[in-house]
Amino acid sequence: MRTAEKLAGLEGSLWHTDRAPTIVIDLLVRIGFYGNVLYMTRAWFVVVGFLLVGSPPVIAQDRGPQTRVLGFTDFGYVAGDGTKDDGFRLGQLVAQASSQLTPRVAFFTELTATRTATGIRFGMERVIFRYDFSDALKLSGGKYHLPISYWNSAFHHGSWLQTTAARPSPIAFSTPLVPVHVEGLLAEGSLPVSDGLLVGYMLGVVDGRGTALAQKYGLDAGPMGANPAGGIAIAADYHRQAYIATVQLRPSALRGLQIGGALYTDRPMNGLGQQVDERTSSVHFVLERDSPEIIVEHTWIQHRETLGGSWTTGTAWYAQVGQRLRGTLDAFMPYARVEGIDVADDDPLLGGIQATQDALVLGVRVDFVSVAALRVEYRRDSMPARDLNRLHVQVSYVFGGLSGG
Amino acid sequence: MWPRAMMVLLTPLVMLEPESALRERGSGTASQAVEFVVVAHDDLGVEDLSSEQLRRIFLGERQYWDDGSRILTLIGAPGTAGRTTVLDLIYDMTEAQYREYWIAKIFRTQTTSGPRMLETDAALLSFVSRLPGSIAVVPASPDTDGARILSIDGLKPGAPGYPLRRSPS
Repeated sequence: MRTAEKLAGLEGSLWHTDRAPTIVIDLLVRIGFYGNVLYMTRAWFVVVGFLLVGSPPVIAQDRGPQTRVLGFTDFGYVAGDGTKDDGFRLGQLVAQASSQLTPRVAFFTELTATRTATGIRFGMERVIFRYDFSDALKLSGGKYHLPISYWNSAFHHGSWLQTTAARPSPIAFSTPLVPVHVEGLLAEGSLPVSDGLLVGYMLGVVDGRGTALAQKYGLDAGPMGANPAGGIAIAADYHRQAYIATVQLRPSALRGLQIGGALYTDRPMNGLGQQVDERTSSVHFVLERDSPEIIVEHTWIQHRETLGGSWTTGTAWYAQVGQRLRGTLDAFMPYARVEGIDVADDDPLLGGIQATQDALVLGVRVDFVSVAALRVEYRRDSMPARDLNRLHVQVSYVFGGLSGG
Repeated sequence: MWPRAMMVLLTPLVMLEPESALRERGSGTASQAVEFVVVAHDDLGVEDLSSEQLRRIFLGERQYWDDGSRILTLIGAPGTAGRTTVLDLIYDMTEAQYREYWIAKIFRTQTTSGPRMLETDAALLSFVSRLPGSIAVVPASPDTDGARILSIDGLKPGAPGYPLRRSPS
């Protein structure tokens, strides 16, 4: 009987389907207690929908639908010169649910709670329905982490998964360089080109950035297109489709090695109400291991005014290396990262809103237990106006997961 | 700064050596070593897997058999001989690395779960014989309980060079 129970789901502390609804409801009751009523109304629709699709008798080939919940959070202290946010810092609380509805249909969702100066903000970070035709073709729709960057897809809100305390500045949550979330449709898959090489790809059509940057950095995009800057009028529902394509190579000769690239095209609106052609491309070189871990990404961000003009090219890059120590010190993993952002002042989308900067990050990660990591991280930002130094001490956790599975 | 940083950060690569699909831990002759077999449900239309195919299946990089059915990967509980062999020879990971690997894979929406765990090697064998699409690694035994034993790289258990062989610990 125990064995049958095990077979019905992952072992350990993962939340099984029968517990997941209770836990999700309990979480949302707590969220509702503190949160925004309108947002909660939307969240309840999602959760009720989630429970409905999770509970019908669509039986996988040997077992019923299964739901797993993974959670991530972190807590730390930041001290530095010139920073307004010195002090204790409570990171996001992240809950990700994964459900295999049938052997070919999967559902993923990710909810976050973020502490702000005025309370707690809740977010629906990902909602993905996916149908697998085969390993080579999987179609999905929903809200994603934009795969323009390896980091954005691999770690994102799962801070425990990343070696460092903070994301690289080229892919920071607040960056205007690239969108970090998108909604749309994706086709993805992987093909073994030979016994020694696996090739993965993603092709997607998504909603572009539209007026998001215009609203944040310039225009007040009302229904009639109010434009204090005197540019062309825009409508609040302005948006254009954007496109994303990625490819990843995973040779088996070097375990954990992934080399890949991505291309994202969009036509957002800038703070002057002008449409801007956007072409963002990136390459990455990653060794997904801890002896050593290497992550190198370089992104080219090109813009031109749609009505005419030449392309301007900005760059953003980072390179990170870590090495887990051996023997009795194997809980310790020192790391270093260098980062750079270079955007021209006359960039029609980012000029004036994205500073050119370099950064150096040095730190050590200590995995003092299997589900938590302590990081002590020093960061030095070099900007045209001044340099900033910061020390970040952080503990990150994962809960749920595979305890021994 | 960028080229210099690249050179510095990629220097450790020269210390890395290419790896074979299955980690070469086995030693001794067939008569001295403990052998493990890859067992699959008898309905599976597969007789042989390459080492790399086996590794991709257990890593979750391949999730469907050629006939379109879903692969159900099973693994023993911590401490069982089959699990130790799978982590050592196929994953080349510690228990902690294995756990982190699957948490990351689920977080990245590449799968909804890791391998299903069963308490004993005997239970693995029993379930493989009953569950279509399932696959597991168990100690070699004359009685495979109706499950099909797959050859690896064209080699059957007992053959010279068979990869799932370990020295007695």
